[in-house]
Amino acid sequence: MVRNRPARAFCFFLCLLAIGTLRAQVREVRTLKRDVKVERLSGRLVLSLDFPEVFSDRFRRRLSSGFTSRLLVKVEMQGRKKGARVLGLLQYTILYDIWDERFNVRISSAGSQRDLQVRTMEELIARCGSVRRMPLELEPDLDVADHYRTQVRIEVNPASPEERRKVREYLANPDGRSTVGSQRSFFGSFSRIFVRERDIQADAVYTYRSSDVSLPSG
Amino acid sequence: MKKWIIPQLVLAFTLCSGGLARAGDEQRDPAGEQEETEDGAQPATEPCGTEQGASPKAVEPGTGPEDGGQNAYPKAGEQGARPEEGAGPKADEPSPEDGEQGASTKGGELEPPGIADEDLNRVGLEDPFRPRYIIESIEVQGNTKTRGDLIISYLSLQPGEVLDEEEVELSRIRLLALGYFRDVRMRLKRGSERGRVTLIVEVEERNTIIIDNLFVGYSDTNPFWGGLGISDINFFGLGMALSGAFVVSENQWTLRLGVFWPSIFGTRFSAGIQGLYAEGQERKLLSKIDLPDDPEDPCHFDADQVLDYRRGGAILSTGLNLDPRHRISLQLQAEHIEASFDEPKSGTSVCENYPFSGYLRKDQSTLISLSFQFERDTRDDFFLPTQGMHLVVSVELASKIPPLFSDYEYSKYMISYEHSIRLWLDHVLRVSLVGGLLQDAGKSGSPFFKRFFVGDYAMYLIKKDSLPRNLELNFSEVVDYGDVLFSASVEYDVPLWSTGDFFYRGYLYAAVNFSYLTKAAFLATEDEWSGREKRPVSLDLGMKLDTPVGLFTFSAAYWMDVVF
Repeated sequence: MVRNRPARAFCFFLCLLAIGTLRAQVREVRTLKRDVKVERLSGRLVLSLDFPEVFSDRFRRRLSSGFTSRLLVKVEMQGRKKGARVLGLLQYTILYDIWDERFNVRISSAGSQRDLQVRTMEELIARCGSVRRMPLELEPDLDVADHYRTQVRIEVNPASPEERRKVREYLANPDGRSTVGSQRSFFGSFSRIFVRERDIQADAVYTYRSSDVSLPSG
Repeated sequence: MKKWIIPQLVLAFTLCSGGLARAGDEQRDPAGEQEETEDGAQPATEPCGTEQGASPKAVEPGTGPEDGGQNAYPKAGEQGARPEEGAGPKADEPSPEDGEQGASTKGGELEPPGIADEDLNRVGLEDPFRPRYIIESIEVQGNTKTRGDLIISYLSLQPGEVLDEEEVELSRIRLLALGYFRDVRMRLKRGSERGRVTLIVEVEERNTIIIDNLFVGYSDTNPFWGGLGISDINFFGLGMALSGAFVVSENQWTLRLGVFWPSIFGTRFSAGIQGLYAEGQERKLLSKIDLPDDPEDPCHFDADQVLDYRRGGAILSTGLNLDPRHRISLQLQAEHIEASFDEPKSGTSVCENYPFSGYLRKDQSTLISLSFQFERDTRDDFFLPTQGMHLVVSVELASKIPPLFSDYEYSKYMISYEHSIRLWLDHVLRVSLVGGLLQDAGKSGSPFFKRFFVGDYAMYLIKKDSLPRNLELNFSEVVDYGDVLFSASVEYDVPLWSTGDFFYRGYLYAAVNFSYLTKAAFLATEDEWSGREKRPVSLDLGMKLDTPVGLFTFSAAYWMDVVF
């Protein structure tokens, strides 16, 4: 009888873990395999990609909230011989004007910036749910004979290091309720963490990966 | 040459986009140097408005986006272009001063500031992507259990203030950190007039019952013990934590029940009350005590002599968060204690070291103590601190003098310090120091459960039981209680992953501990002491996991203590 008690306690504990799994937080992290079109245009590599999945119901609600939203697009190319490098950066800054009922969009990239306005969510997705012929920076030592895998990482509302520091201050200093007894026990002490470090890095992260391809000649 | 390519790209991006600071800070080249790319383009000084990342010559007319202009990369002459960069604005467009704000537009793009009358009603015009509305009111939606005013009390924004998006985000995180909600969303609604808004806080409540502790183990003196600690951290939706914990074995058990209010009406003050009841049993290592075998000897005791005791009482606490890093707290503990054990047949004068002498006062007694604690916490992470320190200093006093009226008289001083240092590959070295001193007024000055216990600090040591106490009950086979404590630990942490869906993060740790305690005066002889002071070094190896229901520590030292 006594021997069964630890087993029961452990089963009960596993049930609680399962409940916890179902109650996990809602932040989305997805990796999708998709053909990323890389071509040469006037001697430069350019990239095209559709990413409508980013505009989830949750993100659409955020876009209509009246607060500023940001989409950061990072393009990396990983060769078989060398590691990944950032070859392109693009940011969409989107603000819904609750008074004029229109979306203000700012497209920022290396060396350029452009503002525009759209009226509807569909228009917004059509303009910001893809990149077309995004120029990539070539590195001087790029081996054109190598095979490359293109990775496009899209971060929804990425947080700045300063924001992360402030949030960590909240999380590192909980409410002060001291634990009773020793910190050492069967599973150690339990602490209450409800916001994860990665949850404050961005609202969502989508990563699109292509298969290995050789660079288009030009 | 090669290594500067990425930084200069980021730097160029930063210079040309006012809003990039959020995302680009961590990648920014600290040296801020720029070099030419292979084709001679200088991204940092390249025109804001040309093809992205490309020199103007690379863009041929007619090679625009396939989508007919949507999502096109700005070309020379579009808004945002700098006039001096060759592709200046057209004659009918105003020249933007900085290429970012106030650019003129066509075809539904932004109107120049100053022309749109309605823009004048905005509180701030400095950046159309950082609106600065006046908060007219705040509404809470989606809460079925948690009081709306409680939610609003955790916001760092109030009606009448100018809306600050960063404060909104911090407030959202602060609400999430409470653990009451599965999700928190914020949105704006038009107010009574232009420039005024209603801030709507949408919450999705979650199960707020969590595990605080789990106790399982066995020893020769206690064949099996088990227990659990559970809390509802949002009791009745009031933001209070209701906690219960118990441990039970064949010989002893305890129960605790408490309510803690971490932020009284949204202030920096906290308060709590905890009731406790325990029926415990302390055993002596009589085989190690030199006692007379003659039953007629006044100092003779039965070999199965035990100390049975009961404790019942309450702990009142209150605290104040001085700032996010400093906290002070005050605690009042009041208990009624009953203890039964045999005393020498002919008084204590001839048998000073009889069993349980000094553990507790016989029969009924009262313990009333007052504690003060100061805490400084600069750790950067609760789960795996990589830098920062945690300092706790506490003083506890019990006295017969009014207003305490305690039967026990002692003072207890403790200081603990932990410092984390980040090493290569995010490995962490953590140093912990604990010091303690307990001063008694007489042999029964303090109850035994207030003494330092070696198992609470030491780790695994071969053939030396170091099981910790659970809810202040000693289930182990040793009675290493001490008056003076010094414990030092060094821990080395290796992060394993940080992207799991359920096990969010995990790391391995290896630790070595040095713990030294002086034998408590009430222990009968040096022989009764387990001898740990002769080999004070102990070890631990384990893994820590961060999950939705809390942190788990799988300690090899604990299991080694249980098994061996």
